[in-house]
Amino acid sequence: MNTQFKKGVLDLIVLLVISEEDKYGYQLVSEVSKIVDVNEGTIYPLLKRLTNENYCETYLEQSAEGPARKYYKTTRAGKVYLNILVDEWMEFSQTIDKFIKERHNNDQK
Amino acid sequence: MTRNEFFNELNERLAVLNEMERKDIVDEYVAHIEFRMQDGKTEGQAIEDFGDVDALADEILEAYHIDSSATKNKSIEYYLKVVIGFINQTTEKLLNCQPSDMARIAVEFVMVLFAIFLIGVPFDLFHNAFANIFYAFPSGISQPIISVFGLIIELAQLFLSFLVLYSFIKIRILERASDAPVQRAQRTQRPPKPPRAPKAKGYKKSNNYATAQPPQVVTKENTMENSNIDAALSEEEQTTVEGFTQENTQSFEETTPPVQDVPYHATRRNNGGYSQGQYEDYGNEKPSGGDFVITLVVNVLKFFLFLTVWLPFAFLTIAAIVCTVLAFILIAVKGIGFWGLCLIGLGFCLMGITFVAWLSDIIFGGKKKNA
Repeated sequence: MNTQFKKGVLDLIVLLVISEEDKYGYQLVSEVSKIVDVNEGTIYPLLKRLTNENYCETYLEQSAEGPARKYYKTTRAGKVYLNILVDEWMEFSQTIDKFIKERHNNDQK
Repeated sequence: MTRNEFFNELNERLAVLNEMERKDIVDEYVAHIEFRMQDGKTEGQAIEDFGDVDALADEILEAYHIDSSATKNKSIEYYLKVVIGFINQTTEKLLNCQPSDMARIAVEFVMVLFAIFLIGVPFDLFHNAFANIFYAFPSGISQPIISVFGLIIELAQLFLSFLVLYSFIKIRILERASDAPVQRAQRTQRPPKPPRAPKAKGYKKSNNYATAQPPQVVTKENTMENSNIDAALSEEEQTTVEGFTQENTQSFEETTPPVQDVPYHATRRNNGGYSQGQYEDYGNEKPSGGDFVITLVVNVLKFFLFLTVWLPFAFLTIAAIVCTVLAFILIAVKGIGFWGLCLIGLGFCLMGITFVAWLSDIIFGGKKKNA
């Protein structure tokens, strides 16, 4: 799939994943990479950016096995941003869907 | 690639970030590799999954709004692109500006040339005074000192002249024209952003290029997005706004890296009031060299075509500039002689005529519009 397509929705997917439940880096990355096939290394910079832009925040928590884990959590601004992204995505995908169906059917006739 | 190699390379590429930020990122990758190895992969495989280190570093820097091309080693080619980009930007701006603006710029340009000439006067005086002092010494000593000193003074003068010319172009042509109504409207629309932490070490260095650009503009889409969020936020929690920002400031102080005052997407599309100039981010967009040169040639040709349309002003201005420049060259080579005086006189006459033409355009042009 086109990498630009994926990049566009990655914000949305990441925010959606952590809005349900706080996740630590690896957990989040493996969950996201199940949905879209992306280079896992690139999700960390994205998380960093979301943190910088105040859409999510981090905290450390000790784990039974291994060192402390860094958890990601959406902020209120992040939730609002997520809602906007979801709305925009819905509208966008419906429009494109409709457009493809119309044109594609016309072509096949 | 082993873990050490990977992190060495990554650290090298992220050198602009401060120690803490870099550690933060590296820690995440270390943890990722550990988890991967627990899942049964080898270290090499886990690192390979990250792909190209350069591409990864670019992505990370992008998250900090740092233009990665500025952190790479700068070649002559890079500087050449910056210079050509600057020329392209200037010519495009000139092509797109209003006739009245054109006249203003022409007149101002002539004035700047005059200012540059004036700048030269104290330098020459200083040079002569210095030379006179040293002529008292035997010529074996005085000659080299005077010539070296003369060279230094001339270089300083040249540098200052370029600086004046550069700031003139930057302030009076590029920034003024980019101060379009669209931008002004957006500036007022831009919502207040949450407080940001102080800039980190190294960030400023890499950002030198950003400062040389015209003021960055928030794209419409972004402004909308942000104002939506801010509006929604303020609706939702008008009562807790204070706590909210405070809390954020705190978490920012601890973890925040340098962030520009512009939202993420905006940094790459800071087109000013006009849209054709795809290279106005000179040096930053990394276009191919061939395109650049073609654009330059096309722009210069377009510029001369444009000048022929505005012949009355353009002819006078060009003549004035040519005369003045010739006069300077003549004076520099032969000293102020008969021809030098003639040319300077001609230059000033033409400047005067241009100025009158410009004034009359303002006065009569305005009347025409009113009628």
